[in-house]
Amino acid sequence: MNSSGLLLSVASLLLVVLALTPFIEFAGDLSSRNILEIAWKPLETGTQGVKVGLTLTYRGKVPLTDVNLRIETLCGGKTCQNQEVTAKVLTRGESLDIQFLVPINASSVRISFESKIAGLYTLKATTETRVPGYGPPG
Amino acid sequence: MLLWLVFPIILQTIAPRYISMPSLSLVLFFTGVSAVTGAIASILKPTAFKPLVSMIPRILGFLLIASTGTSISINVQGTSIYLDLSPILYLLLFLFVLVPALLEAIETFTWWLEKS
Repeated sequence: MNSSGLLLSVASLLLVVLALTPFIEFAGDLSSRNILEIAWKPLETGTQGVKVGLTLTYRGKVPLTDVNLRIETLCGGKTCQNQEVTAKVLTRGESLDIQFLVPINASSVRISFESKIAGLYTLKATTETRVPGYGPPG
Repeated sequence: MLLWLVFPIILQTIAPRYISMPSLSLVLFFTGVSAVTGAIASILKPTAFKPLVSMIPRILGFLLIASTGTSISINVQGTSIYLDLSPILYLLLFLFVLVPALLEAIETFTWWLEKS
């Protein structure tokens, strides 16, 4: 291998390492701690339902870009309310706040989180859950 | 050629649970194939046959790996997580297939000019 070939190989390796570093750091974070903390509380109760405030806090080391948090309230399997909040960048310790209404007949809430890890790798996470202490009688 | 080995080894060592086995097996298989064909190509003279020996296995390998999917979907305690790994695969495609293919083509073209 001549010197230009060696230089090209070293530059290629450096680029691969640079591109892989955020993914490896994120994978390490994901396996060692809860990097997305979700806390919610009822804010007010009305005749239509309960207004809930949700805070999502990011605990990972790698910055997330093009962040989108979407909340869908499901009534009998169909979306009856939805709210979303976006952010350009989300760094360690930063939070996203969102308020949404949970109607009386709501069965569950679907939380969808979408972002890019260091602006490179698209990450999507979706979970469906009941609102604590709230739901149809019975 | 040694660099070709780096990607699967790093991923397998650091994040094995995030890599689906069929894709990883294909990456390892074509790493071996590329190592052998690369070694054969390095002792060949720059003829039109040389790029075929060194590049075609890599291109086919990448196409096959890309066709099996460049994303990972896992389910952790009711939360479905989707991760798109295509940026690193495209970078590897560019660095280890397109750039070497271009260099091989230039070398072959230069040889052809000198010969004619």
